[in-house]
Amino acid sequence: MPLTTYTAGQVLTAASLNANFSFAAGNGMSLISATTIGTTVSSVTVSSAFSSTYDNYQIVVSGGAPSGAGTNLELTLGATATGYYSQLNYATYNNTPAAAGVANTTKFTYAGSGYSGGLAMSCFVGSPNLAKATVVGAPLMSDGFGGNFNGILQNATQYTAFTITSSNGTLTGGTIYVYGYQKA
Amino acid sequence: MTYAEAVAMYPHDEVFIQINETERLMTPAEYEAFIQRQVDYLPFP
Repeated sequence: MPLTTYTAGQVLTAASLNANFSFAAGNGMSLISATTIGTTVSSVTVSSAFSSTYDNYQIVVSGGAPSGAGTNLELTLGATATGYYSQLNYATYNNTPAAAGVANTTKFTYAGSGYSGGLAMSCFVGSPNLAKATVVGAPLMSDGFGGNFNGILQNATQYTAFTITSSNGTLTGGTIYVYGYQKA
Repeated sequence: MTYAEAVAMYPHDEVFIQINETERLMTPAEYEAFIQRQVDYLPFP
């Protein structure tokens, strides 16, 4: 049922209001969790992020600060420490694009960044809780360069958790938001 | 960064692992791996 828009003087029925709530709940993305990053942590695990409720997810990190410059936010799923394949196409601003790829490594290396403005991640995670490969895609946003990161973890493990690890130093503050894409 | 510099910059009691909203100190093995990551780290790009 489409969203109902009311006009002045119109009678608002419970059925119509509930239909609008259903419309709102069944469209777009739903916030699953918001985890506040602590002080001087090297990694943060979100243990109940993925489930059968959603097939696809978005992990967003903002705020906070890395202890060192040029930090990457690395992503791992569950306890898996092998089989991550990924590719980053990037460029320092106003320069010729370059690329960095890794095959069968221990993590998704460039899922996000930590720079002078804080932590930045907006990582799509496809089918982590399904018995099939998990794919990721993320813009890499930083003060020194920008890029596009994509990868695949080709196993049939049904993950519920993920961990974000700082490539160097520690992280303080900021929030990890996990959203689920509504199925229909 | 040398091993000694990494240990001086990140003392064991000042670096944590976070599980959901709970922080804990690293085990000796975790701390060793963390320090080695600092030593091996190459700035990118």
